[in-house]
Amino acid sequence: MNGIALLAGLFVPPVYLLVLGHHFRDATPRRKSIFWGCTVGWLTAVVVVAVAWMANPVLWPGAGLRTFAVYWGLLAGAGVGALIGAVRPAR
Amino acid sequence: MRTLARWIFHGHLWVGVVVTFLALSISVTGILLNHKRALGFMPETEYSNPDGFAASLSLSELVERSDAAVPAHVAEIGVDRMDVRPGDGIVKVRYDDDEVHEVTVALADGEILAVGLRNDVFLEKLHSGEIFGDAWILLSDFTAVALVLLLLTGAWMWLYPRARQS
Repeated sequence: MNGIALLAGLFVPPVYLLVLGHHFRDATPRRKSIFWGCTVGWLTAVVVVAVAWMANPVLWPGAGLRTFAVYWGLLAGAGVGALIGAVRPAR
Repeated sequence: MRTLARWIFHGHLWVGVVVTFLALSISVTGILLNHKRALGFMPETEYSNPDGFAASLSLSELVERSDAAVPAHVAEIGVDRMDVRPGDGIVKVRYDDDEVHEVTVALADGEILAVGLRNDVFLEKLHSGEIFGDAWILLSDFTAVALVLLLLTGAWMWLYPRARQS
């Protein structure tokens, strides 16, 4: 399950963002808001996960916050960002 | 020509976005590995005794000394490999534990010269993707192929910048 979450976090959000970004000028305000929320969430997660992977440079234990960040961080970051974008009132 | 240019532009965009994190991870781990000594990612010793190789203790004696220098649970897991350096008269005994302990032992008298973690082994496995399992090295291959595609498509767009509009 952890491996699937990692793979999904690596590939699904970028592809989703590319799809959302298609004909962006014609997108509804809500869709634009989701796009920016997901972008910021995923990019923040990229930094957090990169740090969780490498600091400190020993294998992460079987459970715990670091393990969660390593496997689920990218997916969670993109998801939370998109959710915030979706519920945020469109301007 | 215009259709080809659009394919190349979109291919460059999609491949670039999809491999963002993998390329970042491989680049950072690569930089860290290049400077593993300066960053203290492996135990080091200044000891040198070229005559020590001829007067070396047996391998089992060296492992016994090494076992005594690491925590009991690490010694119990066992030795992964022994890296003998005849020129320096030392052997590096690496354990098969998750943290990758390593003990540097003098060949001649079994003196313990350094005990520490081989953080670079972890980084190497992260660099290749092997840390997540053997099949994950395919991700590393995928990223390498993607980077080659980015180079080719990027060079093409640089050489023919107006092809998409023509």
